Amino acid sequence: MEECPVVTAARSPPSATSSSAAAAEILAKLKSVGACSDLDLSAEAVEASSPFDRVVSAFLGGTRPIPPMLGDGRVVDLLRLYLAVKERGGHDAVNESGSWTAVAQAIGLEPVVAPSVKLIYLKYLDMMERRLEEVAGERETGTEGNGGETLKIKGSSDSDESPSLKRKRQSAIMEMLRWSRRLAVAPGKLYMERRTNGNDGFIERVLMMRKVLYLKKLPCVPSERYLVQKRQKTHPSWYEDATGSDSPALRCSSRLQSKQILSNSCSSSETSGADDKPKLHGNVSGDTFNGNFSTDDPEKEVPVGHHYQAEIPDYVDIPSHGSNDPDDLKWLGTMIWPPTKKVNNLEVQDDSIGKGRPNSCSCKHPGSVRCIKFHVAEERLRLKLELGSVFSIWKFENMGEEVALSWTASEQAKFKDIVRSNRASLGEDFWDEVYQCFPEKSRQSIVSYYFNAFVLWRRAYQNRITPHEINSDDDESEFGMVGDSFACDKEYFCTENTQCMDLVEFTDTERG
Amino acid sequence: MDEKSGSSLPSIGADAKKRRVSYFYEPSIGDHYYGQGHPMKPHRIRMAHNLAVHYGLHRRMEVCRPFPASSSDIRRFHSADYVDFLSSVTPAIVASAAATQNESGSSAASARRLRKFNIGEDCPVFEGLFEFCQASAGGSIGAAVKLNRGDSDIAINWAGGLHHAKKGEASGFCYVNDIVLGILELLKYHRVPLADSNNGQRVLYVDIDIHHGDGVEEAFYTTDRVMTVSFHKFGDYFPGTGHIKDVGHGTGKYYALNVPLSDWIDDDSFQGLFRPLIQKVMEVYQPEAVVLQCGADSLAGDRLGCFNLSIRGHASCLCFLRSFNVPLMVLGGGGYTIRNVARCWCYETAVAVDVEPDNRLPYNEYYEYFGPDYNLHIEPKNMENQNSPKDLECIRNMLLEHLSRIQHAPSMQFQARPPDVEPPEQEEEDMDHRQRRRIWNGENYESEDEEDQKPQNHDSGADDQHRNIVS
Repeated sequence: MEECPVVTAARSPPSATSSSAAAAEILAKLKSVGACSDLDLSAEAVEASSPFDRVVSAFLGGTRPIPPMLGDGRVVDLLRLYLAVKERGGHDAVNESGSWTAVAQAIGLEPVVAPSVKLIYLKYLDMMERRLEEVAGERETGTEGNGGETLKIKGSSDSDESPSLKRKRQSAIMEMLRWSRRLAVAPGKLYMERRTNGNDGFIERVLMMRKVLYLKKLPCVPSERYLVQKRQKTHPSWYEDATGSDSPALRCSSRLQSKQILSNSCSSSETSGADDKPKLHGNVSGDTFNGNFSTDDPEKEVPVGHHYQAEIPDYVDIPSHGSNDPDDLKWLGTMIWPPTKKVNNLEVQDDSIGKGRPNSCSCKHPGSVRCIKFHVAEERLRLKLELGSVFSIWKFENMGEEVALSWTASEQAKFKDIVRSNRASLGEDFWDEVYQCFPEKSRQSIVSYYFNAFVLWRRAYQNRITPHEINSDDDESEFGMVGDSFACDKEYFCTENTQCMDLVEFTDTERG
Repeated sequence: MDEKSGSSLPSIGADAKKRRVSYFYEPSIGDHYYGQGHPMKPHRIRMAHNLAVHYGLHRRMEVCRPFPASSSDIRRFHSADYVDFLSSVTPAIVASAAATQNESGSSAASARRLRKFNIGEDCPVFEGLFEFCQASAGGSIGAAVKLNRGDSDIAINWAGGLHHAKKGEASGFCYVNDIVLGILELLKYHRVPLADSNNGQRVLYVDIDIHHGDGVEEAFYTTDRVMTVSFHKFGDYFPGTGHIKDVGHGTGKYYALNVPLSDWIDDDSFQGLFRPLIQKVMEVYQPEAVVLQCGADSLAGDRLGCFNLSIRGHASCLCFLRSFNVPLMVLGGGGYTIRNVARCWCYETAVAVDVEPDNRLPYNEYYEYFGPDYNLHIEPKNMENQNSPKDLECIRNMLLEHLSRIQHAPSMQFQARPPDVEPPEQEEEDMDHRQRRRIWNGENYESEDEEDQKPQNHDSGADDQHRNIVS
């Protein structure tokens, strides 16, 4: 990672003058690539806020409140944070070495707020770091431009210094994806900057890749039919000719040639044999609908033929009490509930069916992680008594965070590190690495740990720290999802910030 | 629940509200995993089951572990080469096929087969894929047998509803079409003997997944023994089929109904189409069994969807179909914001057993998934409904016009059906309802309908109305 001189000069907590100098230096670099061109630090020097804060604010276009605050109202010094991360090799390196705790401590905060610090860095400074990185990169590449086939990767000249930078040297495509991702975070900004510099090699590559991925394989499909849906109003042509008007030919539904919901880059599914089968349309001419509305595109019809339709069985009248054919009876499966033998004397009140949790509890900190763990354990116990052996038949033993009990703390820490260092948005699949790291564990048990404990804890964290950015459905390791103080060191913090969770203690509660 | 200890569940009570409910659940279903970043997560079925059990809903049901469907069972619908492929493919085969460069050899042959069967990103090969399909299909076939035998009035299989799978290929996260297999099982028997036995069992399929139920429609596109009705987002959306003018072919003409919708449809608009259309379908088609696919991606806030239904709005489709007291199979389907899927299917299980669960969720193993509110119900999003009243009216009128053609179809001699085969008290109410509806035609349909919809403006309106119908 290229280190700019000003940063090395200001390792210690910056004084007012060095802070101004650092801010000016950074501003100069940003201006050299067309950013923050309107900001003049000297003219507004009377203002109370630090110069660096103003640079950041201008860079972000005033989209975020400055200065940033932690949940408890304490202000985070952006310059110190920036320098602390810079010193450790930048955001990616800090992420990979998992040293956010150290960063938090370096700027005078306690380790438990490391996730919040990371979040603030991502929201406020990550973009700027990358922009400055590019400044450095452009100097390196000099005037040779970016039009060549080989793509110069930032930091590649000195990356041998740090093994943690390995990921930066991945393919040019990776770098392009990274760029696209940043573009998605701040549309307009990066794009415009690239344009003004005439340095739009990435754009060309993205466009080229899109062409290759979509157009080549989907020659007949307009480019918008993908997962990202357009807001589309009902088109009157769907129904307008119902009254037999002479409106022009209308299209009927099509089986999109891309059969993918998930992904745009599809394999062509027009397989051999699919083309030569007769495809008839349900609308036979001569009725209310114009018979010719589908003639413009013969591909867009529901296919008919024995390759497509089910064969309808002959039917027989069913005996009054149903068939007793063993071939039929097997389908009834295994009756699990109600159990054949009564398992306990617990009389279950029918009126408890449909009941939710009580309105309040007597815990010291209602709603805290600890409180909820206690009540969940309590409810598990009640259910276990009610269900008896059915509890294990339904695999309730393998539900919830109890599955983590078979994982040691270091295994859990390792798992977390792997997930964190692999971002799904960059096409990096953490599962391969996970499977390799835990050869003694079955894939099923790893997946079970992921859904029953890992995502659950991540959600517990989100519910308390970032309740407006909850997400249980992206497998991505994005900011704020896994903190350093999280689960592996058996310490849990929440908004009340005083609870500690001990797995062993928790288990005792549950069993007792 | 006085008969709790026995193996038999209470039969229809005097109030005619109770239904005997069967529920199929494979305990290992939640351990299947499509792969990183894939939105389809079987874990949601386990979460739904967990929630339902913590609400105590199992005490009103019979819960069975499904018998896994074998290759030969799956071949009742799917082509032999496809089933052979599914039962033998492994992630390792896929990996070697992907690595191969040359155009010959076994790896290249595998690669061709992967393309032929549309196996790839949407439909990846994962560990235990075939077992997953077997459990899903076994549950739906089991549900059909339960209904055929008259053991249950409602049979639920949340692992089913995989409506995109085609006869010879996978599609849209679906490999084996458990719905088609379940319907084929239902078609094997007449449940109610008819005087005019020229007609076999008729099955109605209703699909409220946001995606078009193309696999099921295609499978029964040319028959009148299955009528398919799909409500879905249409226009630049997967799978692209489901145009309003796709009505079926040959004998099956007018026995496929497609309701194309635009973004952010809300509860009121949806029910404004669902109720009159399904009412009419029940009236003219008189199915002996109904299959409802409850894909939960039509809920507000779905990761892949773009509708704006609340859980109550979604479940009121089930409420409405339940009120007809026709044997009912309830299946899962899509749904990619898994906490909401669990909420929705838990609530729908409650609707099936006629329980109104508390909004405050009980404590459960997945409690943190449901934060920060920890409630059962979800708020619709503040999005503008892109379906104008005029569009909806036109769609409704056009589809009612399609349906009117069935009424006069010569093969449907409903008048020959003797009155004594009608089930008791329940049916009388329904008959009243039907007669009332029959009077409406054309112009005054609209105003009557609005009146009919009024109670739904309130949250529990749908339930109230449902109770009015059945009590």
